[in-house]
Amino acid sequence: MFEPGARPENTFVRYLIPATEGPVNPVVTEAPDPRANSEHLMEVAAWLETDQAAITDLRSDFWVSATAEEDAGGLPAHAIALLKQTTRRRSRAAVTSAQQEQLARTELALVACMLANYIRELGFPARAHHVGDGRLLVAAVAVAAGLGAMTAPGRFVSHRYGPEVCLATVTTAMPLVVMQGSPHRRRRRILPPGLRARR
Amino acid sequence: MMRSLRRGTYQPFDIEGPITRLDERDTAFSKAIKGHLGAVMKKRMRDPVPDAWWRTFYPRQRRENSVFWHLFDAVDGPVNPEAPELHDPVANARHIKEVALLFGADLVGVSELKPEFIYTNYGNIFDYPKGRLGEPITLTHSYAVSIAKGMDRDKLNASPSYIENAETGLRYVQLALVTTLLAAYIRELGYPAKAHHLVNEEILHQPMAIMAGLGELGRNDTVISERYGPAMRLGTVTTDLPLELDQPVSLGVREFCDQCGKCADNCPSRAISHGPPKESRGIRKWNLRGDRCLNFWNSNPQFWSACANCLKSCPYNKPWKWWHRISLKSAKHSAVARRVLLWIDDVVYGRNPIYETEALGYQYPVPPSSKGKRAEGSNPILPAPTIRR
Repeated sequence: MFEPGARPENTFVRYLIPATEGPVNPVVTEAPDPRANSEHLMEVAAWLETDQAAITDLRSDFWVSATAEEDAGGLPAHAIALLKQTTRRRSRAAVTSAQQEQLARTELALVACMLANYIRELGFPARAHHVGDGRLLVAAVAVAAGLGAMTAPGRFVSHRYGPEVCLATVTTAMPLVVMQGSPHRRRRRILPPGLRARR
Repeated sequence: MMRSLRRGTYQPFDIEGPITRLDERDTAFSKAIKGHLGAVMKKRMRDPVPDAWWRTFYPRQRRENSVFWHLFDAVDGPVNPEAPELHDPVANARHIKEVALLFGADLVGVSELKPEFIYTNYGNIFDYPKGRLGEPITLTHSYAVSIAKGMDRDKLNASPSYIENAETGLRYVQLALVTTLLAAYIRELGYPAKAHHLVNEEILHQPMAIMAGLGELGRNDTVISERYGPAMRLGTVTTDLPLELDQPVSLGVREFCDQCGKCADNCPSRAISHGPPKESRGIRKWNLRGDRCLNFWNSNPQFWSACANCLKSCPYNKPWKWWHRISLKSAKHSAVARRVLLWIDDVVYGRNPIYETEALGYQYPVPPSSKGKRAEGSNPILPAPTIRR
């Protein structure tokens, strides 16, 4: 169900592979302030239920091969690293940690595709890199973005959540600034009109 | 003479005659796209929308930028021929519910799939470009697993605005994920299963959810649950895996809606009736004028492309706090309590509640100074200085 086996039609991520790329809206949104753009994307990433997100400059050594970089056309300037915990239990279903990780990767792949779609609809090139598509070293991006570090066996460990996390990346040419740390978690307390009037 | 759809202590529907099946092409969306609701509506249903999230979730020009477009074909697939036989419906139902919760569902229930709640023909907005518009639907599964996803109330309460529109789209995408994963899981267990979500559906989700005990039908034509009130969205998985059925629940919604009518007061298009329930396709219920509703959705695309005022204003749309739980229990059993609670709701939240929200680059309510300024290509991230206070 998570890994393509005898019946690839039953694998969810398979349907998200063509969703990584798409046409860019020719009507470009005016977004002149890179910092405001970055803060907005951090808020969006939190709303899409990632646990952490960060932006870093895209370097050549993040690509798995020169071909992959050439395919990107040299357009993306920034990479948005997305992180999600894999061990958040939501039910009493007996599942292994590997199954939980696959589920979280699937969810994060969907989030990465949605974020890339959104940026393209704003009028900027963007591409999602997730578990079903291996062109970018997502762990290297996450390390450069300050979300964690690599251990000796080559596993990514988050500074905040430890090793049980999964990663995805969105590369884009949208004007952004390097921004580290967790996305906005602030929730405005919204009072009902009646209570607000009494203040 | 009224009769129950199923045996049980509570009758979820008042059946007044044979229930006629609905053709999906007769839904308001389908009629609007075809032009049966007027040329202006047809044009607005096809025109570009200023909001990038709306364009991402419900594409009109660049379908490849919508995950819905890519998940359209994921609802069904081959069944595993080498699978253990699962004969215990009780254990199966318990397991399937736990798996659905693991996949991200907030509420799950099981009901029998009634043929009268299956569409006769395809007519969804994506059935046009996918080339199966009008094809007859043949669905022979026995059970329906209804799944609900709760919404973020802060964003829902910003209706009508693109904040609420985006929140709704996100929950539908998440439902597509849950239903698609669950259907694939059941198929891998060796039983046929099919996911039904916003853009690829063959059944009516609401009656299935009501029979599965997720909630009760309200005046605003939405399922109102105990935990989320009307602030939730629905998806369904149909299957032949033997499952124990859940029973419909009574939350006192019918009695409360009889006295309340707040959604009807807050409906800008007067699509919700103030009067008593009426017979529709064999069922006595409050009717929603879908064409009027859709008309308001498309009335001002600079600021919204959908509306959820009826969900926002519903007294059941409250945080899951101790005082709300006490109110729910009181409203369920006492007519006096219902009147008192309605009065309290009007005093505290107002008869026409407006909640100030700022999210996703938008501000709600929109200040008068910014009206008419936003268009495609304008900046939703950095609104004009006049918008910010």
